[in-house]
Amino acid sequence: MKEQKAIEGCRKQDRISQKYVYDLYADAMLLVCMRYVKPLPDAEELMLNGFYNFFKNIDRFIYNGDGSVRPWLRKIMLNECLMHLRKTGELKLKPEAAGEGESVDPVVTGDMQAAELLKLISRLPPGYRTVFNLYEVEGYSHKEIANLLNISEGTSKSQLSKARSQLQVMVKRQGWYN
Amino acid sequence: MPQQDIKTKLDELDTLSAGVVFEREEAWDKLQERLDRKPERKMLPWYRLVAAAALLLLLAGGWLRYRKQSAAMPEIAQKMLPKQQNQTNPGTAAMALPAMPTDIAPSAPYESAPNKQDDRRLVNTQALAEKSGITNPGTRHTTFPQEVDTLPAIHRTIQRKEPTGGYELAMVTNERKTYYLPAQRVMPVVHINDLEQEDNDSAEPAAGTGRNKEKKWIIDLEPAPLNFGTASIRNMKIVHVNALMEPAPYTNDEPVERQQHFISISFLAPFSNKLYNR
Repeated sequence: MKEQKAIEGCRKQDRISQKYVYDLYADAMLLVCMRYVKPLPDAEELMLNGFYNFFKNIDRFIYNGDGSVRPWLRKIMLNECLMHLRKTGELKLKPEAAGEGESVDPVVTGDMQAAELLKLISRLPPGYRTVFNLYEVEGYSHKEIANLLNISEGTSKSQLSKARSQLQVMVKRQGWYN
Repeated sequence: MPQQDIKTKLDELDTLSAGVVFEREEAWDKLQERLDRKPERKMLPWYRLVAAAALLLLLAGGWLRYRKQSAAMPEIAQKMLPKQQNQTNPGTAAMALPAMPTDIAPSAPYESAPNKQDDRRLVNTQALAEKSGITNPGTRHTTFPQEVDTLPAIHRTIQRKEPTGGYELAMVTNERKTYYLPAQRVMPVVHINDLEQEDNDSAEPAAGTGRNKEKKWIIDLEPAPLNFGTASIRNMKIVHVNALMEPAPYTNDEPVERQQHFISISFLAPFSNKLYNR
């Protein structure tokens, strides 16, 4: 079954098509959720919520060829995670000045395995972890992050620099720093 | 590039290599169960329903009460109009004022019964004047009130619709006095002294009307209409004009000008069923 046909089936709430899309993206989406929410059961629940919303609101999705499903799903998962973090109060970040720690360089991971990197990221405090993921992995700007998390740009920059600094220390401790 | 490095590494990761134990089929069953579930109808919380019902009842009650009150107004006002006016001391200029029975006090049931018959009673101003230490009540430029048994004979009535939406009814008596009945609009209490200030620029009343030039009054309308009656008075629900004044809490030592400031007009307040005196 091709992806396009599966999406057409999903529009008709066809279970086989839905299972096909689920099998295709479940792993990747679970890892997306795990980057933001640490406990695995929570991440799994959020992933299921994301798929549920995707299937229920699939009429809003416009298929633009192969590769258009993944970013759409990622966005849904990200929203689910941010909503969860807001509910649990983990996103209450203290307002900070913009210039604080801005000069911290991006993290150099060297030959570090992706799995190791994911573990280190998940050890970061929720605020650092969220801003780091949004900026470094999802590619959002500080302005967009500020809007998403309802914080100032300065706070976003400060959280990112602190996350980088902390992650760098952890990478060095692991012995992966080149 | 380090940033690209992290992003690429994380994107290429799968659950198996990340060491995550993920029961995919079990999770799919959960998802399928959710998808099969019929959406539950969200019930409105009971307290919202109660609040909405109470609000509706309040609005309906208020509207009905307003309708009832508005319909009863002309009748009430008609019964409150005094019969005639007197003067006690024609030797002074102030005595040119029309009769203003100033010591009619509302009886107890009056406040809560605007839709019923007028229950006000006339009181003995002489006794009140003596009680409050006033030895010469004539200096107040008023006369003692007289019991109003019957309304004056009406020569003709004039009714017209105001641009503001209210109705104004004017009655001209055989004695060539004009009385204005309530318009179908409600306005707050207006102090006569405030109105007097507004009237500074208005035309002087016709000669021979017997009205004091300095002290504007409401009745004494021949031949002019309400002498302060520009746009401000036309929308008022005038319950009575010259029939009510509380005994003024002043002493004989106070100047006459000060005493006259107690003279007032009363109007019906909206929805409150109360007559306000100032």
